[in-house]
Amino acid sequence: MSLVIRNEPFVVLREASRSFAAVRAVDSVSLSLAAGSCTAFVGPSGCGKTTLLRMIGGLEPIDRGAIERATAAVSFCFQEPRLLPWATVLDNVALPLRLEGEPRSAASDRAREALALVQLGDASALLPHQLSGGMKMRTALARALVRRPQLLLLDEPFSALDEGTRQDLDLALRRLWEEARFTAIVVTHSLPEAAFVAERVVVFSPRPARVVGDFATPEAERSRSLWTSPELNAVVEQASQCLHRAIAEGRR
Amino acid sequence: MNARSRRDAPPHPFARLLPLCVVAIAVMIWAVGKQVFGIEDFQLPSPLGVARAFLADPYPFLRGCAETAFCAASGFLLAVVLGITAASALSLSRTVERSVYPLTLLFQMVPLVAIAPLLVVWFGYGRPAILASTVVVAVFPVIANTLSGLRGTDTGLVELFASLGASRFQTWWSLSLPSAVPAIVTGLRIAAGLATIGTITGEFLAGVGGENAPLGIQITTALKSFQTDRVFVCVLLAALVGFALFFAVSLVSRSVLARWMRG
Repeated sequence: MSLVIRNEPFVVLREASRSFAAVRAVDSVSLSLAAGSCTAFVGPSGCGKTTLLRMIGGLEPIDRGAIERATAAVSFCFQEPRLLPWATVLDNVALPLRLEGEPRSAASDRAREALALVQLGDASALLPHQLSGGMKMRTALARALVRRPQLLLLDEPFSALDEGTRQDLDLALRRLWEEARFTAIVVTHSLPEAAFVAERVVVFSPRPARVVGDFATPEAERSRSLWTSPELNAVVEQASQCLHRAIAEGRR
Repeated sequence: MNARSRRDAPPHPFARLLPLCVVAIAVMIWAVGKQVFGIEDFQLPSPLGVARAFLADPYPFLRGCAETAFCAASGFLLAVVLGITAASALSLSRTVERSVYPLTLLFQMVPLVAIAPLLVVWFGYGRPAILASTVVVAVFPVIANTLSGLRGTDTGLVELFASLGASRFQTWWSLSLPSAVPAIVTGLRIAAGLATIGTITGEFLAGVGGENAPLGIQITTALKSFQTDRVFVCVLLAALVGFALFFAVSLVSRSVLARWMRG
């Protein structure tokens, strides 16, 4: 693993744009994300934030502008768990390593470590249909972490879960990031989730996505009580006003 | 008890015996019908006459049955390997699929009896032509179902593999092929049923007589001398070969599919 110097620019977007036929999804987005940072992208549905995340991850081409990444070690965590239904939890988590050619035993050992990180150590022999929604997302998260990525891209990973499970996983994700300090980008619809998980919240306009706000979140240690804390709510309120202004301007 | 719990409940012990009861009733109708309508033995032998023909000298029938079973099973396996390979090759490129798949469809439409003489010309009399006949009949369901399974791979999982930097071969081997297993198994079940038909048809035209004469040859030989009871024995044994092949494939597929179906 190459050395990551914290606060150095790790992902740099310069006027990055993307269109689908006549529809412009992302319009001249310029951003600099520091190494080891955790950033949340927030915006209205269909504004183009997922497209932007896919462009950063290399799953979507760029029409104009440029995106520079300081690493090739990128992992995705999609909106759906996307698990192989015939493979056990362990084999699903070990998949990225097996595709890289790592021997089965070594891959399984690392997969067990990743499962322990998301508190799924005792579920390794189960098949996906035996898991709850939260366990499936934990498995997907473990699969994304197993390669020890330097850049982790999460596309609304917990949006399909109930509020309680979602808050648990948000806390787990935040703690994993605090321990490993990989660079993370989380796309979400939820402003409280963005402010809780990330240290920076970038707000996008309705389509085409343009940056309309950029907020720092509280540095306080994450715990369940922070969800209702005034400092978190203050950031949520500011970001919310910014988002609504952008939506209102978009309607005009 | 609602519809779902009725469906999930274990079958009544009597339900397992129902097929045997149906067979017994059919045999009784056969025996009584022959007596009532006074049908000649050369037109329709009695069930007892068929049993007697078999028990008088069972070994030629059993040797023929073994030969037919060997050709049906070998031809089936060959069709499976060829079918999965061909479908995988077709699935790699839409252009190749569009240009080659209609030809395989056309090939399937040609009646086997029309091309069987050509198989004799190309492969000569004996096993090679019989195997070719079996493969021709059994390969298409394997190709069609495998192709459909490979094409139906979950696009989300394809994208996951792309994000993991998987090569085309890795995506095929670790994702597309396992995803296609349920469809492949359906193709195998259809092919298992068809393989025996292909074998018997091949034996009619390319079978070789002698000590190990296959069932197809024994049928044509017995028909020439109006030994209908021997024809019935061969037909029943051929059906048994087809059933055994289908049953074996179903048994294997049930254990293989367990993971997929539960998912």
